[in-house]
Amino acid sequence: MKRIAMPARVWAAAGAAWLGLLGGVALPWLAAADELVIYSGRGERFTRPIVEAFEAATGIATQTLVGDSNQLLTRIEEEGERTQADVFLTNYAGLLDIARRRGLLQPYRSPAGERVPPEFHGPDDTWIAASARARVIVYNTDRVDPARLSSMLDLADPEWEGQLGITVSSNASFIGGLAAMIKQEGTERVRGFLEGIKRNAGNSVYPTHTPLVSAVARGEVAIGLINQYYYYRALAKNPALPLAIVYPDQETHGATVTVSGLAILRHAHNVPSARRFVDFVLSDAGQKLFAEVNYEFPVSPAVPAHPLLPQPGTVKFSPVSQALQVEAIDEAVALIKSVGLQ
Amino acid sequence: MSETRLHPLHYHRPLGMTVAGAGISLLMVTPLLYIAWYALQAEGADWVRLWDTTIPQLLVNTVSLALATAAMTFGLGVSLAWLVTRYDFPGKRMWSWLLAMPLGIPPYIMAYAYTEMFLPGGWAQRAWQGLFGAEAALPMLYGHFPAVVWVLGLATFPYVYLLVRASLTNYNVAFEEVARIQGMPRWRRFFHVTLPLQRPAIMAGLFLVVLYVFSDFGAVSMMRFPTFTRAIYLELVGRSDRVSASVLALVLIAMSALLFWQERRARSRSRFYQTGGHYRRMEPVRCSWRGALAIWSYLLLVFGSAFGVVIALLIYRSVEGIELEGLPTALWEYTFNSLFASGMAATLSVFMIVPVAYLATRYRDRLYQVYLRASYAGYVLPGPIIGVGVLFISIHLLAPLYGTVSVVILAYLIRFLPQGLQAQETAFHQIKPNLEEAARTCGASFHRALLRVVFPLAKTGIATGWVLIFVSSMKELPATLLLRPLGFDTLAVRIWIETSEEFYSLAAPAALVLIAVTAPLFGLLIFRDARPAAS
Repeated sequence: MKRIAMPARVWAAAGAAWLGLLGGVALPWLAAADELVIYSGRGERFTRPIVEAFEAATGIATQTLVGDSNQLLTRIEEEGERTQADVFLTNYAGLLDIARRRGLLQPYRSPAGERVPPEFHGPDDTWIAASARARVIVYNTDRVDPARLSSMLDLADPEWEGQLGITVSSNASFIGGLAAMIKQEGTERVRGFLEGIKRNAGNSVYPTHTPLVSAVARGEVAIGLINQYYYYRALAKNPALPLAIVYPDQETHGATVTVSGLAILRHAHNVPSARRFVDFVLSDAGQKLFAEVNYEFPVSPAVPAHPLLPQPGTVKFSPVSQALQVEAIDEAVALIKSVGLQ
Repeated sequence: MSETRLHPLHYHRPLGMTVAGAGISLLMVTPLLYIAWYALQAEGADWVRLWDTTIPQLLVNTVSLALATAAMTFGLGVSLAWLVTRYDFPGKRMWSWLLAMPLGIPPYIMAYAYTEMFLPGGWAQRAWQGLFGAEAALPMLYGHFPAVVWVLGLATFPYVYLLVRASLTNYNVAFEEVARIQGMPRWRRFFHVTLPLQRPAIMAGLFLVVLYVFSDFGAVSMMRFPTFTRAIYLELVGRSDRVSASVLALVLIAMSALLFWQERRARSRSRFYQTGGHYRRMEPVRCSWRGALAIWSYLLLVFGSAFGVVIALLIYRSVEGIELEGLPTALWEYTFNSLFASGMAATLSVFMIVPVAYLATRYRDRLYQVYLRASYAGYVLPGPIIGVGVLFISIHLLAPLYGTVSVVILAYLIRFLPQGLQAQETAFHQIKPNLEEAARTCGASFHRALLRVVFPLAKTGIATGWVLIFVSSMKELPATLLLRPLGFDTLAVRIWIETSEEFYSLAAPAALVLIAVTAPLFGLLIFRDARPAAS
């Protein structure tokens, strides 16, 4: 039978499509040869200054993928040894510890980490904190008398029904705060706490902390549970906002602390550069960025906190170490689920 | 439907197409298999816990949202289609096109625009205070059921409008004239003759709307209204809990599949045929200036709410953003990425659909019906599930592709191929097989008959499919968020990142570009009517 030529246009379209696909396959391989690849679960506006400072200081080219920390962990886990990432920088060390338990990290003892207090180190040098933050209560100064808020457990009080705002319960800091509370108060009290805030918050469940702080500022809700730096950030943008915060539990064990942190992945391709990145984050220059850009507490005692933040000795922090706190993560998640928080 | 099949004499399975069809339909169901496998690992206790805590509320929310949105789009879609086909007024052609444009606005942008207008100091609040004094306040829209319905309804009514309009354009006015001669008053004619005859088109439109509501992630997340898809996303990427996510997904998939099955059954039953040879198109009624004014005000109101205010707000915000940080230079890169991935997905899909659609419409063969059903899987799979499923496939089965754009394209393919499939299936159904048979009798090969007879006649159906897949891919969010390779951000991803950190004025330019690229494409669907419903 005679061979029939397909019309040129059909071939051209099919050919172009496949060529494009091949191009799509090839391009990223060409690009990512010896660069340091960082998966960052911290906001883009915060990751960028650190990465840029690191590049300027070391001359090492980096690529970052910014996204939600949990989502990146899912991705790292699915990717396994095929991951392109060398460093996992996250907004909550608990996720790093989950990665550790799943065998996704490799140990590194950074010389710069020697001065970081022991409560900020992960087990077996697998991860280390980069900055510390306190779980605080933000309130609208037009609507709330701060005397009514002294303990975290007050948030579950029925008097706040319909006036409390929280983030989605999958938020890493939210889970971290609960894990610390479990170690401090015991499971049953935390269950009662969760049931209380579920009722009090109703539908006022925000995707992240930033819109939650805005909601408190405009009076949509009266109080909210946040990390302290979201408050300072909001004030930096607009000092006239009717906002203030309470560092809770000062009479008892002190405010809960969670940490952001970083780790080198087990399947990293570029270990020397990854180590230099860890060293940089823990160095004075790196710690200063955490303190200044984002109003967090440095983990290195050599670097002072931002002048707006409470200075050492003025606020009492919970003594629960991070390694101990992250042990309670699974229990915290199980509690959230059994209570059925959004 | 047998009349559209080839004559039994020609019956032998074309080898190439059969193999291609098998591969394609298998690819389409892999995320479904993946999720089913995880759901099987769920223990009884997981099911009980989810039934006790989350599922009932999600069911109520999701179903009531879908029903209310369907009701709203029914009212809007049918009335608008009726006006632009039945009446003659200045600017009618332009309006036919404009009314389809809201489909180019991603629902999460619509959601953003409305929630922003109702924030204190927002446009709606200020206008309200201007009218009723400084103390007056409108409610804010977060978690507000009617507001979520309003937003999703405005974003999806064009599905109903487009299909009903096509159906009204092509329908035989003789039926109505009979009723008129019998003395039926005008409004009864509308409800007892005209409307029932549009039923297939209306059902098809509402079906798309309901599926959209089931699968929406962006708008409900932005408005903080808990539905299945949002809960699945939170379980999946928020807690890395694939078992709970897959249990929730199975419930949603079962709901969508039931709906899909019902819709296909209803459609195959309710084809309306013209019986006599007297076919006449309807003569549109000429409007008086008063009538034209009334129609214009209604159209302006709908278009203004669904498109005008959104665009105005985005322009206002963009100007603010550009004054703040200058013109975002990386915008072109994001635009290119979006266009590249979506264009590739649409083009590849259009080719991949051919074997599946052609075999299913031309052969009376169980196997090919299985292909067809399997390829529609993307319709019922929630976006986050497709994301994780494709992540799994690409790492374990297509290793060399991982970390590249191809993975994103693959997700778009699986998610949106059904939209193009539906368009091609309809187009192939409308081509009488005796045309191909005539070509074959004259000595043309199978492929030549396909290329020279079938494709040219199905051109508009194929083009429609391309546009639908392209536009949906441009707007896609949950799978892109999970799969994007390093340094590959799309417009949709940028909009999401900027709005989730509340940098609205930086998200606005990307949103404008996205709309500018997608909205005009609907002209293609309007001016060459692609889907005459009942022929």
